[in-house]
Amino acid sequence: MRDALATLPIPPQLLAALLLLLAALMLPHLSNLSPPVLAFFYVAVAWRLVAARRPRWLPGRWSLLLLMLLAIALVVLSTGLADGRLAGTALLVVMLGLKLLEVRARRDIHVTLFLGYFLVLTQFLYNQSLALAVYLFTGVLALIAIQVGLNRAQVVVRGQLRNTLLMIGAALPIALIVFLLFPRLQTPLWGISSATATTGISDDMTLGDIGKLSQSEAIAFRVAFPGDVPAPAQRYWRGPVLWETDGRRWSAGGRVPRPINPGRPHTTPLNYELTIEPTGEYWLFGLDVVTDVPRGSRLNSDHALVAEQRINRRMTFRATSDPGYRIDRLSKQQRRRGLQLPDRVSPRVAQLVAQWQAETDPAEPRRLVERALAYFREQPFIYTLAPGLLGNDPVDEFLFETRRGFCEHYAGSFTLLMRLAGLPARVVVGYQGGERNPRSDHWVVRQSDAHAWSEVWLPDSGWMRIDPTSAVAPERIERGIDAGQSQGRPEVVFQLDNRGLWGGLMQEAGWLIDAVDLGWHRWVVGFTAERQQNLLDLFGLRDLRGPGLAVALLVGGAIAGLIAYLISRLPATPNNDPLAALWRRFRRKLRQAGIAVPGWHGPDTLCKAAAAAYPRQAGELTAITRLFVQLRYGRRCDPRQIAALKRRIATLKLRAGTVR
Amino acid sequence: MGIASLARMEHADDRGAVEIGARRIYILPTRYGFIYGTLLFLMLIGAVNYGNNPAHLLTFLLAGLGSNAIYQTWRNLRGLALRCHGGPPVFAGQAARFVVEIDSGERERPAIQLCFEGSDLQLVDIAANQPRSVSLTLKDLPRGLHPPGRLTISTPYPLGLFRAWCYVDTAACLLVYPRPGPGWHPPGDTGQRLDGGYSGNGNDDFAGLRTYQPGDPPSQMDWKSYARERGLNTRLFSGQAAAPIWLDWADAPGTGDEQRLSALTRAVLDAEAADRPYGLRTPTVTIAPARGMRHRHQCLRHLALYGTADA
Repeated sequence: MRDALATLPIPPQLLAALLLLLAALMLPHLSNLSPPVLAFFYVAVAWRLVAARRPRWLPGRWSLLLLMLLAIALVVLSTGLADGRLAGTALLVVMLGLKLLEVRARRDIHVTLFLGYFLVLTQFLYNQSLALAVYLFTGVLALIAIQVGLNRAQVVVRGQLRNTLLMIGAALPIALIVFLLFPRLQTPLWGISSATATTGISDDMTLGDIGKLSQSEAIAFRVAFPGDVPAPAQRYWRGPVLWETDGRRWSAGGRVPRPINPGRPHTTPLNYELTIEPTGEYWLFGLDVVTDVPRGSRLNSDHALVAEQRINRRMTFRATSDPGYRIDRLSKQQRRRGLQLPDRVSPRVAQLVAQWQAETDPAEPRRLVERALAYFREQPFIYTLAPGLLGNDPVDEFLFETRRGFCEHYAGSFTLLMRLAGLPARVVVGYQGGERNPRSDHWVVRQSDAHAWSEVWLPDSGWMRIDPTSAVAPERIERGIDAGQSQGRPEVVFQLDNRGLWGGLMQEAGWLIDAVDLGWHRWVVGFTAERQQNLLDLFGLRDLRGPGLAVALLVGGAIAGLIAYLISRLPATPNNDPLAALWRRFRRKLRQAGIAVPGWHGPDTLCKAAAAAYPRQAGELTAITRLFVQLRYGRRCDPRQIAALKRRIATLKLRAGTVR
Repeated sequence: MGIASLARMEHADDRGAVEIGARRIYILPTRYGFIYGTLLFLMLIGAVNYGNNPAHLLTFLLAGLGSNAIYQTWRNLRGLALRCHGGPPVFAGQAARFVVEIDSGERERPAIQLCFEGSDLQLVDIAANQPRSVSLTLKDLPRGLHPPGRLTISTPYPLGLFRAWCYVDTAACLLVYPRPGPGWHPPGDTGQRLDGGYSGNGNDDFAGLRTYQPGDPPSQMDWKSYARERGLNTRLFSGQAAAPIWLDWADAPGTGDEQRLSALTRAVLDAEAADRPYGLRTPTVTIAPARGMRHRHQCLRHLALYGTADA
């Protein structure tokens, strides 16, 4: 079929808009692609922009061929073709640049637009953050608007945003239903590795590490509890367990803990969904103690959760924990490691422990633990972010001289004291606390919630969590640290409720962004096969596959189609002319009464046709027509008369005449 | 026409008006539509391969837009009201114009493309509630009464991925007069005035007034008497009082019918231009001598339809 549109010239404003839009959509690739590839693309864009006014400047066929060879050489040399994703993206980018230089007819613009859609897709392969998604989907909106503009005889700007938004609104239900139902491959939960992030806790703690971390407001992970929420004192997020120490530094030690099967919960377990930010490490932070292990991870013999692959992007997993669970296994090896001491322990420290041992009954080690905690509580210890430098024997100096420390000082020295007393003990690092986001009812755990505590083996109750920090600064456990306020100050500022109006507003906005960000991650980025199955279960569609899935897709598609249809029926451009609206209503009424007169006829013809069909109402019909003509073409337009016209049209009832 | 004649067609009513019905519209993907489909498939492969959910979402959004475009393109034609009529008669060899009046109703309808088979293409954006007319030109029509064939209305709007189209059988007709042949002198024509019409330079003798008849040239109106409210009169000159010329089939030069028809057409035009009464005699019809546009049309129409089924 012949196509008149294809022969029309490219509207220059459309071409310019497309070039600038593509240049903007390429920007996020600045951090992904090598400079020569990007330079090739941007030179092509600039060249095409300049050549828009001087078509002779466009390269000829041979020049294009040469440019193509150059482009392919660039891709091969800059990517080495090692990474398929990178090479593919670079190839797409240079081809898009070449295509721009080749744009001569409307046909080429279509192909360029399609390449533009693909360009957006490649951006998502590198970064899936909400901010980027908002940026890119805005770009897609503009691409669609240009595509619509390309399919009109004349370029119109007015009303096109609304028009395009309506089209997207109509497409969204279909997109969402297919998105929810389209089968996801059972790819490994932790996906393809890429970027590395480095903030967070590691299995190595030197005194002062966590103190530094506590000044960061960065989010470590978010947790949503569908059911019960743990009490503040139970919010310990367990990370790696540290066994070996030289007095200053604690580490997990050389051996890799073997995986174990989680035990049965002792009390009512808590279900939750945890979305962790990338750390570049393997550690996951389950609520102490995990009883149901998420897929793609395992529990080690220290009851710490370990992912099978490095956490290099944001991930969501579901787990179950029992805060009342007792870890009641102590292997010989654990006992040996739990009693390991640094090479040198000062006589003062040893004497202190000996004194406690003398004061308490050896058959009741619990008393000794309480005695140690009382020591921390009663002596003038200060909980501070600026403990000052400690010398050659940090434990001795801390316990008897400076008495200023952060959680790792307390946990480390407490554990050492327990070991000196003959009780197996270990340091656990992780996070403690969390803040509820009131906007979406999930909990946010920040780097400032990083924490260290002790676990002591008591024969009658197993590994028991002892947090010496709580003895010194109980508010740390109840409230958490305000990292923004504590920054640059020696003293720790705890979170208070009165932040002032501005602070309150900022906090509200922060919660809102946080809620949207988590929603984006939970429902879009992290929508895995597992989540999909959970969602289907929610609707009673368990084990949906084959014909069932087809039926679900059909039903969903029908609903989406209906919504799309309803949205499509919204008028494309709002009409603010009340008279035109009234006249349309009048015409509609007549049409329903069987009087169809094409629109090129004026009011008089319409009136005559109507009066002939309904002689009884001829007078009223004539009056309405006359009033309309008077208002439309007369000098003045009185709002009261418009109201009168509206009333008359509304009350008009057409009944077949019996006069003839 | 072959298979095309089996196509569902919208038929115009006796006034030439037609409204495009929902079930008369065809729709198929364009080549951009096929490319778009391929693109979506590739995007889906990319999204699935990398297990990338925002990429899934983008792909499905574009797929939703594409599938909605089927409805939107179809809707861009449905309910379009139009009326087609032929323009004024033309001579064979001239471009014949058909006028299509389009009413888009309450919705804007961009990129409506119209054409007859063999006509030029017209592409218009039709605004809401603003009917407009489009003229389509057919070239090289032979003499006779021509229905323009079926009108094809199509649209790629909004995304160009699909093309919806509809065939309309318009009731419109256009008369094409025979192509005027080279000049000749019918018997009885003195040859004085073959070079042009009334010159109005005052060389002729004024012969008197008669009541105006439709078709009299405005240059010969007696405007002065009209201004004196004596009615509309036409001034007559001595040369015009001459005896009518008979344009006879038998006298026309040429061998075949078409050549004779061309010659007679030329003679009608010349005689009309010379303002002389003329009669036409063909093997089938004799038209009494007269003058004026109506008479000219009657003669030319007879010549145009001579020997055709419409005669």
